[in-house]
Amino acid sequence: MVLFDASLFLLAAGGILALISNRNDRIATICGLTGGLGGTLCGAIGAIRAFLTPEIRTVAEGAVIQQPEMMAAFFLMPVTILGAFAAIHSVGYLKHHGHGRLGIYWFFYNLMIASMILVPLSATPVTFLFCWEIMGLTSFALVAYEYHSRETMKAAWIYLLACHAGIAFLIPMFMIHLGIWQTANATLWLFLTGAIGFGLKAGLPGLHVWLPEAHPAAPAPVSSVMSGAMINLGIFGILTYAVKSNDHFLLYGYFLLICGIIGAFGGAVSAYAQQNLKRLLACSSVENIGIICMGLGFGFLGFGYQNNFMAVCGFTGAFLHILNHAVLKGTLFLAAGEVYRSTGTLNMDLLGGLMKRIPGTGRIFTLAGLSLSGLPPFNAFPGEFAIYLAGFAGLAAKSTLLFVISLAGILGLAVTGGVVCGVFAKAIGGTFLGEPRSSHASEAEKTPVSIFGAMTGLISLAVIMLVATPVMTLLLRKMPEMFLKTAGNEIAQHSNHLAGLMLKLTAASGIVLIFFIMIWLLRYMLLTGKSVEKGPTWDCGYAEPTARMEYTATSFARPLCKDINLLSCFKKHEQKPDGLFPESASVTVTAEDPATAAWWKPLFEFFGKIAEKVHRLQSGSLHWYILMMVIAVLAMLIWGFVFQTDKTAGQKDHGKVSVKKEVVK
Amino acid sequence: MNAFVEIISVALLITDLVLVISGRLLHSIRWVAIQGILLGLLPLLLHESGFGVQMLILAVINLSVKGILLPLLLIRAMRKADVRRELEPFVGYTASLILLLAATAICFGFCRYWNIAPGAASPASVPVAFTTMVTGLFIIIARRKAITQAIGFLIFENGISMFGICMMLEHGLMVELGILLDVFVLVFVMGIALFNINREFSHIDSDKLNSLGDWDLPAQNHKDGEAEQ
Repeated sequence: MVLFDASLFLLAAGGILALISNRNDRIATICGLTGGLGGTLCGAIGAIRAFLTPEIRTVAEGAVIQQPEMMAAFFLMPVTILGAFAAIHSVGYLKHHGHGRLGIYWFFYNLMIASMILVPLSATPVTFLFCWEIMGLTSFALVAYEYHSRETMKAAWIYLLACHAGIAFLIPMFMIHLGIWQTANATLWLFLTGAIGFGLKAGLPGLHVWLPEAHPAAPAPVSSVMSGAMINLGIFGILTYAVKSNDHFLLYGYFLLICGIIGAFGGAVSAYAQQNLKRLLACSSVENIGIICMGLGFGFLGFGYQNNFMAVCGFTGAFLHILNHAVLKGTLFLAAGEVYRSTGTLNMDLLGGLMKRIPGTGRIFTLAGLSLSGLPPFNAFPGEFAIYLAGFAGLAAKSTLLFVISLAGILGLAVTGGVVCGVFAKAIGGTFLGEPRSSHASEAEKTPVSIFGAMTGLISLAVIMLVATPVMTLLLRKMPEMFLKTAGNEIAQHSNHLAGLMLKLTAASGIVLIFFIMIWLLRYMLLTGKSVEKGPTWDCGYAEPTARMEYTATSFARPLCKDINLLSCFKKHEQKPDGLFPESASVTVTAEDPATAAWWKPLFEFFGKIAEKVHRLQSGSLHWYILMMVIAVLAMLIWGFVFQTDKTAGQKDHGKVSVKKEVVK
Repeated sequence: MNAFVEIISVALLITDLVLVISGRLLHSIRWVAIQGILLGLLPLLLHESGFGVQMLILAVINLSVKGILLPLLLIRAMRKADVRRELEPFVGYTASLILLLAATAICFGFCRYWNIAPGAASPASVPVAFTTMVTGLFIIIARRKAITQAIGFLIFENGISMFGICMMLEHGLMVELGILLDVFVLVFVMGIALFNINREFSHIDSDKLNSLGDWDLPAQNHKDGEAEQ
């Protein structure tokens, strides 16, 4: 706990000092970075220690924050680790834009990380909601950091609305959780309100409205932390508060699994249609949350059908994927931020050829993208493999319903995997390969050390995690026990079995990687001593190749999005050449989010109309305001006398005096 | 003793009626001072229930602060801001009088019907206290000048303190002193602010100060943009 206290203190101190020294960019950066790094490192050590030794846990009476239990410690790890790397990245990212506002940035950044650390540490629902709200507000301030742009402000407002819609569901959830609000089917309502409230933060399908807006608008380090760590806290909330242990597993299982399938597939397809690199990554976050939910769904179904092996595989897969997604998506957002910083655009149709201009970023993006696609020798594969195993265990079970849903899960995961490979082929190809399609890309700036360092650090962490997968599988065995406390021994057994499989998998991955490295060495050896000539791209066969010949990112996505048009999310706006001597013609393609078009837009418009009508009350006239307050007080007074005195007939005088005092205030 | 209390209650009711139709500020301030003095006398007449030190302190403070100090401050503010009359009130004086009479009737009816205050010193005092509060609020809402609103707040406070005195609340003194401090600070700040506002904007109409609020800014920007086009 000392570590967490130190962490929070450092973050707060760094943030406030940075805010005070806002006038001087250099001092603000030093203060903010020192506080941020120190705080996140202390927090990371504390989280890892608490994760490894969850037994040492003291809860003081009446405390508002507590030593985290295993689940909280697990979700603290991405927050702190990603927070540290994103802080380093921020230094280089903000060097050229954000003069005179760096102190503000660091203040909100450190505050956001501190509130994200506080959310899992909260001991009481009120503390939790308070920190959750602070987290939403500080991240809103960061999303709106480049507030001069209309797009950014639109995204920031959508994010703020989504945050508050979430709170509107979380308050009833906690009322049910604490027993203040008693209903029949309390468990069902608890789970539904929790799933919607936390799902709005996590980006469950249909509730993901803010992700594709806020992630591209925010500065890259912030979107990295939000995507890698903050949306996971939504999952944390569902698992900690919305789910009750030992019962109703089938409800949780089916809900999460179906949500997961829709989210994974829908997220992947809509990512495929995006032009904006960071928006693509944001949609891919929806997809990954879907995969995590599928894992959790299989886990709960396993408990529900007394199939503990399935449960262990599902949960382990989900938790492994949470960690891998955090690190990889964090890296990808940092790399996308470097693309934006050096070229000034995120539109993939205007990029291309960056592999030659910012090679470090290109290689790291490629590696992280391949890993996140779930391809075998890389990182995300073990997690998805465990989820597949859970699905196959479900297929082998006798229940027909479970068979159908497991089959749907496996097929969904397989199709998603395929689409995601396409998504990253598009992202990598459109951004880094080929020739530059605009001056943005051809005049890309060099990568500063801090940005390169942060990305390299994260991708190295990913490699370490790949090697450590079997160990992590063993460590994660205590997490499913939290939901079903009776099956401890059996879970440990299955977990050992799964760890054995993971060990083989890691060994195989290692062999494949070593094979690749050997081929590379062979190539290097064969080429030494010979002269290697570098020519322009596509120099063989074409007399004078130009960038206009190559596939753009949009044309790459055309077959899936236009001809198959799975979610009808691909909208083409064209102006055809007209007349004998056409003056202008254009084609633009945009990707619209089906959920936004289907219900978020009408919903927002509806509330907008109501708000406009209510706004008339706020006429700006002082006298009118006072009149309204008087009317409200009078109404309360009359209500108090007429309706309340009868009930408390025995304490008549007392009731009156207290009502009177309200008026005095 | 009840007779004295009732005489003072009726006198307070008359001051309310006068205040609501008075347009000249100096006149209003004088009547508020009279109201304060009447209120200061009230505890002294209640010694049937014990002529305590508390009541004495209350009387002295009421007399000195409400009867003398605050009216003086208000007159000073009025002179500095150079306003004499309440021009163009939102609600005309005749309508105000009718509304206040209606409110008085409602207050009396209300108190009688539900028997709000069985422990009050006199049956008339509690409705009059309510009427005084309503008068204060009404003046705050229906008048334009900031200084009249300060007067309205003072009347409102008089109503509250009259209620407190007549009910002989246990911690009446402390509550009373707390509110009195609030009112004092309010009038004090008002006096300073009025002078400065008057110097900056050459009027003290509180409804015209609305345009200082930031909610008007977008609309104004929009207008500016149109003008440029």
